[in-house]
Amino acid sequence: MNLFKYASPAAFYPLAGKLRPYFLAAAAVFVVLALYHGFIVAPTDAQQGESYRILFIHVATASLSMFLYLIMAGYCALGLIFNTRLSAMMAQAIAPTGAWFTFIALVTGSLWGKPTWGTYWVWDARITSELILLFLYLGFIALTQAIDDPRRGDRAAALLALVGVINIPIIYFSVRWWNTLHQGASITVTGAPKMAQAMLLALLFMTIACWMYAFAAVLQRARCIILERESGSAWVGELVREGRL
Amino acid sequence: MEWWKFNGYGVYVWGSYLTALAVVVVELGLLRMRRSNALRHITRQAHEGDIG
Repeated sequence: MNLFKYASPAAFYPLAGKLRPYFLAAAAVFVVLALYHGFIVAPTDAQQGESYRILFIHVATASLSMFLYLIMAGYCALGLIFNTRLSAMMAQAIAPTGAWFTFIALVTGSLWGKPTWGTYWVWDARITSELILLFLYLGFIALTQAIDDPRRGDRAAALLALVGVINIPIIYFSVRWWNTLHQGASITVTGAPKMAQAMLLALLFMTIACWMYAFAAVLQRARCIILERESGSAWVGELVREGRL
Repeated sequence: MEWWKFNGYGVYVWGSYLTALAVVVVELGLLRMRRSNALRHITRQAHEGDIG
């Protein structure tokens, strides 16, 4: 199978349409599993009590907000290097979902902070850099829409996205580099997780659910962007005539 | 203890998950609107003969 074929909007559009329902269904299954494990199976935390259950959604969305930015920046780099049309469209499809996940991470973090720290907000390095991530997403979206020529808008936004990548290690390592109120990571690539298995399962299921939902939303938005940008092309005309839009 | 009250933290716990649910509903709604707008535009173009 030639995967490069799917770098063409004409080939990617039907593929995205086929994959989207599967991702959405997987998201629904995993969110049910996550809620069952997170609300029913996982025991009350010895230190944080019941409020720690917020962390299943908070950690999942916060990690995804960073990963989506990296994927978006990767597409931007591809677009700048190879001048591929689909790369810029994919970056634009990812940005709003990334912004929504960042927003959820900030709100849920704030709702966890109140009972745990006694405040909804503090200008802590981790929280502030996550807020900057939201502004980077919003800036990217605004820049693509502010320039009339889409190709110029793509390039300007791609540069912003690539410069903004510097914020990702700042978010991740902020709890090590500075003395922050936000605690360090409970799960690392190298070390054993510092939480009970039931809690870990709930977090894992919620993270998978968020990934599946993100894929579904991004694919749907990518289909919209492709239609908007390629509306005058022959292959779209063919789909209209065949009723396969 | 009533389970859904989460020992007095129900507002924070449910508030978090309902925020996430609201975001998903809004995002999916916006996507549906965007798609139907794009389809309407393309159908109009096809009727006017501006499409390949």
